[in-house]
Amino acid sequence: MTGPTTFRCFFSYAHHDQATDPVMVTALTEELELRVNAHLANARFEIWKDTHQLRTGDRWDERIEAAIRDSHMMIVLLSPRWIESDYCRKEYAIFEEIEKDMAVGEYVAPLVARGLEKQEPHLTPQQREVLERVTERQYRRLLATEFLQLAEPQRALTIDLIADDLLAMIERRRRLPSNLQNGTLRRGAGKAARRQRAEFSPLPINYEHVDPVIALDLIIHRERTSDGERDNIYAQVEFHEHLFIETRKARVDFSIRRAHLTIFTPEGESLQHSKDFGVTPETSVFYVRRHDKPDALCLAIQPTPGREALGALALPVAENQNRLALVGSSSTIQPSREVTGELSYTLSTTDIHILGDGLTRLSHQTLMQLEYIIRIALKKHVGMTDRTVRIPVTGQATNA
Amino acid sequence: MTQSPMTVKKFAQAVDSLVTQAANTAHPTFLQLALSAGLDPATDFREAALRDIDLRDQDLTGFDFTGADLTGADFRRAKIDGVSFAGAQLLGTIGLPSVEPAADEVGVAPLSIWSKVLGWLRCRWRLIGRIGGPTA
Repeated sequence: MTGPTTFRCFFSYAHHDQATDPVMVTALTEELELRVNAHLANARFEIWKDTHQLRTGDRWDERIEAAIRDSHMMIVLLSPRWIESDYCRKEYAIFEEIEKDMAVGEYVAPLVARGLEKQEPHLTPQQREVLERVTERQYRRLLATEFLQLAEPQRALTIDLIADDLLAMIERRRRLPSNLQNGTLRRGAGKAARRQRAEFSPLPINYEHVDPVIALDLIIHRERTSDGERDNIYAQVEFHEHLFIETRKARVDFSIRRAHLTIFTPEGESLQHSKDFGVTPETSVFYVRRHDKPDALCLAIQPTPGREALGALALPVAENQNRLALVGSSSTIQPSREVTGELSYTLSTTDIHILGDGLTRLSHQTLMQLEYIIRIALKKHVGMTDRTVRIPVTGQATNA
Repeated sequence: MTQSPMTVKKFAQAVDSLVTQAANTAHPTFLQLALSAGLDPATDFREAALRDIDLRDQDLTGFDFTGADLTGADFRRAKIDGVSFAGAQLLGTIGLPSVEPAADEVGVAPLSIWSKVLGWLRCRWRLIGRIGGPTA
């Protein structure tokens, strides 16, 4: 018979906050631990907190790192002193690394104990970057001044709400098949994916005033080879990388995350692939098969690794070309016929800014729901868009 | 070629109506938000990307999440009677009854009670195969 599984939580806090509000820190560790445990059967919950002042002096204590690496989740008691502390930011960075390897979900519970808005202009770029990463998560505002004024039942209720967040993390860990608990699934288009910034991020362009497709080129070049004649098919697609729609109450930023280019002749002549593109630092393009056009060349185009959106030169440029990609070939297409290129692409929301401060009182749960609903509304109302270009075949053969 | 003004206008109206609803309601529900954005719970949430969504305590009656990505979603205490999760990605979700995927069906919801029956039959078949059938 095995004993109960223990889920450990690292409590990341600034010692100064403990000294200032010891009652709050006790409530968020000892009381919280009790309340989470009250909901668990065959599992235990422990909060690990540095009670031995390991995080003082210049030397990073390996015991801290070991405790973080041994933890399933982390509570961040966010305050100006926390963001200022090199130790606290390092603790967070280590846990972020561990969390990245977890299959599903987020395992950091940020609790904002003191407002940071007024201190933001004084933060260093590194501090600001960490603050941005922490507050991108679903956090709870738990200002010390307000918390300490709560009557006992309200305080218990508040701690219970935090306990509910932690119970979700525990439940998720318990339900995940053991083979998926660590590092076997790549995280999807969640917050972690959004954290990956594009190397080059141009300013967003108003979708109302532009065509998201800057260029869709399709060129047939007939070449004479030692075996006879052959039509090489070159193509290129370029998109505006960042777009937005501004309404009276919000601004929605979005981009094109996926596109399909299908090239075919009306007579269904068989077109051959040029080569397999696959995923490299320069390309993320695959040949796919369309059941309704089995002889067509169909390319699925995705952003290259590390990028969020399709932009300029979405197809990999061929050797000896300065912008076109060699996507396929055919044993000569009959003159007077034409080759058609169909491009379809899907818009994906990247950021949503609600204008004004009318929604500041909303919970993170509601804000998250709002975000998802806007994404679905974008898909419904603006959705997938198609473009078609037809190129008549008139090329004269040249020596390859 | 610029965009159809109607398309953008429809979307802008949906967003503004949604934000107004959220701002003017004390605790807006997921259903209220969806309806205010002009979405139909019975059709528009099929195949939707809803990874990690927090739907605790929501009444989801009438929603159809067929084929949706609900990885990591939280459904604790939500009312889900009659809600379709057929073909949805449910890996890491919590609060749904008996979502215990088989090793070869990780994260995919059973299509219906029939898929449960089929799963049971398949298990029986494997068992019979192990007991009675020759092994390669």
